[in-house]
Amino acid sequence: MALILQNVALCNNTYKMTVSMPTSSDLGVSGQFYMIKVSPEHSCDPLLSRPISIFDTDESNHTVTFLYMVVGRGTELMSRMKQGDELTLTGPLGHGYPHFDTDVTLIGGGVGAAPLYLFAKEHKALYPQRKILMHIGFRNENEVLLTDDFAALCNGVKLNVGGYVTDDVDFESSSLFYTCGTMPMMAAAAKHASAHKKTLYVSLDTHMACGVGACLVCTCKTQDGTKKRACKDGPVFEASQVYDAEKGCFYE
Amino acid sequence: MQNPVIAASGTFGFGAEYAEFFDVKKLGGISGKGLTLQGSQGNSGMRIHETPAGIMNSIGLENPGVRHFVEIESKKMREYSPCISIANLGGHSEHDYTEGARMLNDADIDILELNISCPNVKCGGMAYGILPETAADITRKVKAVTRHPLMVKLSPNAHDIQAVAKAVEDAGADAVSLVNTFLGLAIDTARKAPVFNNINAGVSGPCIMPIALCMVHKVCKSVKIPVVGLGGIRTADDALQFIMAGATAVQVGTSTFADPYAMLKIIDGLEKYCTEQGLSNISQVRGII
Repeated sequence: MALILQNVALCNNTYKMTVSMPTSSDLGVSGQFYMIKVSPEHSCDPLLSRPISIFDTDESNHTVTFLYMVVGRGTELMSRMKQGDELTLTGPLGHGYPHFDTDVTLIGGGVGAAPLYLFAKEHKALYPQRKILMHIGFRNENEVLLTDDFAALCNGVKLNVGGYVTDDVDFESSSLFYTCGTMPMMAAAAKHASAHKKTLYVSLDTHMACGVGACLVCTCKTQDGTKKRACKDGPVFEASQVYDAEKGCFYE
Repeated sequence: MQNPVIAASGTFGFGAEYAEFFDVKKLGGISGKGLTLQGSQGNSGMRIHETPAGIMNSIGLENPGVRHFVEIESKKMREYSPCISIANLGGHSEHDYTEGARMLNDADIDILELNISCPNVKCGGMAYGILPETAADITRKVKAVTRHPLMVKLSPNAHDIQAVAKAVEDAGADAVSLVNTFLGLAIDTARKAPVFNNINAGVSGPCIMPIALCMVHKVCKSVKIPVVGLGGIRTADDALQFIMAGATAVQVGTSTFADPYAMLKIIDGLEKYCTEQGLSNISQVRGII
């Protein structure tokens, strides 16, 4: 159980929800997610919780913040929740983005860039001398957000509106890349990273039922032919593990 | 069994995932993920779709195979004792079932649950559970080779589930569990195509409970062996309804996805009911309807 401190629209269909967590709980790291129950208590419609990744955490106030776009019934119900409501959630779940002592380039697609914000915050705290370059893309002007948040943490923020954010990225500029956004956008990033022989971390966006590794709804094939569960073994994977460079798509 | 609440096959892995959330030793039992002889990567394409108060799934028995279960998972499941261990065995052919059952003789389990009701595999699976003759035939053949008590998991898609239950009882089944998922269809109108690559998928969750309960009630009237009831159970009251309808135990599946602690809440609720009603055992209200 968590208490909703804030649930506000940022723009268009994008909302920001901050919840107060029990003080004993681990809040999680970038790339991890929570399963959020979107239907009212005792209601089972919709039945399944929604996986929402962590946008930010605040250890001193013990809060977790989520950024989400209303795309269907579940997120629509979530957007109607009010400050002071209790929220049932499970998490943090999954494996997040790993950090290495090096300069990094981040590639975010729209609201999907949310986990990269916490990543940048963690990276700056861990390796203050390292450079962080952020590329972020939006479909149109009305959807643009987060640019100031990233500017406060990164050494540079490049914005793309209406085009392909991956086209702006110089894949020779750095050795380590991180991406989060739509699957086609991440596939494009994986294609470029593979061509330039660079390491890229992706966070798979798949349907989930349980979020804890039991239902096998979210499994994906990997390079060695074995299957991995996006929720439990991921959602963050090294791109070459889950992206088939020959076929130009993620392994199904 | 320390209580009548069992984790349903395919919704609980082999226990380890939920052991991170609660003490799974408190459960009555765990029916492990459905096994096939060689293992399987499961179905491609979309695997889940929500319905009002329910879900449709098309996992297609993705599993590590019987040998892996015998060597690794069954041993881990044993660590949850006194929670009982159930191996769920599916198959595409008679050979798959009998050979799988033979291999499972090497596993330290309490019950073998024979899955003749999975709607998500192309050949075999549910086909064995539709007619009484084929269900009885595969039950007899597996019973002949297994050293474990045999529970047959029935399909609600059977032409006559009472007749199938009676037939597998006569063929030597020690118990039956019902129901597996209902065959359903969802269409993506934007794509003008079925949601699932296999076209049909299995419907489960609270939306199926009244129909499942009706089937359990009927089957309890027609067989003498224990009946394990399942289908959309979410609360202690739901479980109680199945018990009053005649079920010896219940299985909980889909509801665990929605709430990892659902089964613990059901166990607590049943205990509370017994206390309130002055019952020494929940079985005192079994089959009263």
